[in-house]
Amino acid sequence: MRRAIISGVAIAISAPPIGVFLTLRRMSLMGEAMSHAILPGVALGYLFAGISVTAMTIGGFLIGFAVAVLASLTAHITPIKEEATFASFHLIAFALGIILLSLQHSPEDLLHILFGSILTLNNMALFILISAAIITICGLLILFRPLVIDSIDTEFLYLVEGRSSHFTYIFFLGLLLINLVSGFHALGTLMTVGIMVLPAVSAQFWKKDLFGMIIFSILIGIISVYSGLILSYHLDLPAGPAITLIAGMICISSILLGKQGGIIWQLMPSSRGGKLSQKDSE
Amino acid sequence: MGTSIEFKYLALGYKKNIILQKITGKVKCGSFTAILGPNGAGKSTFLKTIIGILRPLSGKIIFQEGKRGDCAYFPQQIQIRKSFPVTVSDFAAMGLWKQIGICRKIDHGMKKKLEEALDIVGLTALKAEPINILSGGQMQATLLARIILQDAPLILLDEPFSSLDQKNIQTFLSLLKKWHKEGRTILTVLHDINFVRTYIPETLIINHSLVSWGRTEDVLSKYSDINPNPCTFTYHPSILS
Repeated sequence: MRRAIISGVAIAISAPPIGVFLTLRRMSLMGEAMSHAILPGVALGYLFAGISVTAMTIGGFLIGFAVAVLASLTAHITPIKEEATFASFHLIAFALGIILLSLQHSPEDLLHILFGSILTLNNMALFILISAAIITICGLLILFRPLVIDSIDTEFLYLVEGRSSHFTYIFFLGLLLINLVSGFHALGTLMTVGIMVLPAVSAQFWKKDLFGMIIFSILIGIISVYSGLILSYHLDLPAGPAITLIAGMICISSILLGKQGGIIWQLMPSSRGGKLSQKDSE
Repeated sequence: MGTSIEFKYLALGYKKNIILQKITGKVKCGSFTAILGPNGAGKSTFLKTIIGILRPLSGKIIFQEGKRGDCAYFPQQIQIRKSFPVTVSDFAAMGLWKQIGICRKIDHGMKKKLEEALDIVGLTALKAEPINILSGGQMQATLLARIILQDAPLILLDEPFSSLDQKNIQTFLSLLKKWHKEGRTILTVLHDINFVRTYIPETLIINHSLVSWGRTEDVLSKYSDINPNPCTFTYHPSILS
């Protein structure tokens, strides 16, 4: 249980800030797509080395990166947009991943890969999760400024930094992938995006400024992980879905009650919160 | 302190779809040029190619003094993700990038400059507000503050006046005059031919190719018989052929 809490907190510190940027850049569904896209890599690692944390992590990262590059390139050289290329390629990758996994007849391993096994993590998995959290936080601290500029006005960053400005976006995709491939050991490929996106969306209903949103999303992440683990332990539920469900409940409450544009505040005639909703512009 | 830009047989557009071609000529160091042309003529594409966001389909752009990075660009607002939670002051502070880069702090002197720039464009009262509550005109004023802080030798503006009120147009105009006097090179896309005639020394007319380029009075007087009312800028077919 202690391992589970440590690894869960590591995910809760690193994934939600990535989610804040994903949602504010309107890329949350791309995060979802990428989480599916790593599956064939994970499956290949699994086929060659069995339940080896290292092999699955490396495989997932490489294939995820390849899918992202392919999808971006296709969008660049053909008339269809990135949203459509990511949707197409992640489905292909996911189907391929499931086929590869089915070659090895072990339903338990399949469940482990899809939904994670936070309660039985080994040392290597714990090490990978903590390293991913450290890399993510350091990376975000270093690249915070260019990432914010790139999110608001990509052309401006290109103007002042030239081609190297593309590095910011690639680096961000890299951080996203690191979080997805490390997170899947604990929460599974399908549930990792939950702890990334749900606290991020919730935080936007409570805080107006970016820094506040990031801190708040981490807090919500930690609360979700802790309560999810306790719940799954006492009621004997699968841990990944329990954590995601708690994060989801916090998210729905925030949508209803959040001071920054929550539904209840919007219904009150004299409230300020409703008028300054996030969706005002564009 | 300006930059000069030379175009050689430039053709530009998106993904093999040529929007503007046969551009040859030179934007002189310290010149102040208006770019005119009907909708879809390729004005914005032209600016984007100069700053390097788009690559020319063929031909060359040569920067003779200064380099491309030393350029301030006023984009159309559609490019900006206004829903992102930053304040007016944070947004304008992007203009300090050359001094602060990835990790240097904004020192006292820079803070003062930032306050001054916000004061010039009349946004001091709104500086702590998030950009998503700004009106179109206020957003343009914020972009203008960013350009002031960039302090660049080459300034490219894409319809800078489109939703400014009279007071801000005057502010912007006096800034443009000041920049011109300081020897900066300025290129601006505009629609109001009367404004161009009154204030801007050189004019470049494009419509899928170069139509005319030179001193504003020469360029516009050539067509004065075609267009007797200077307030309504219409393009007679003979100009465009």
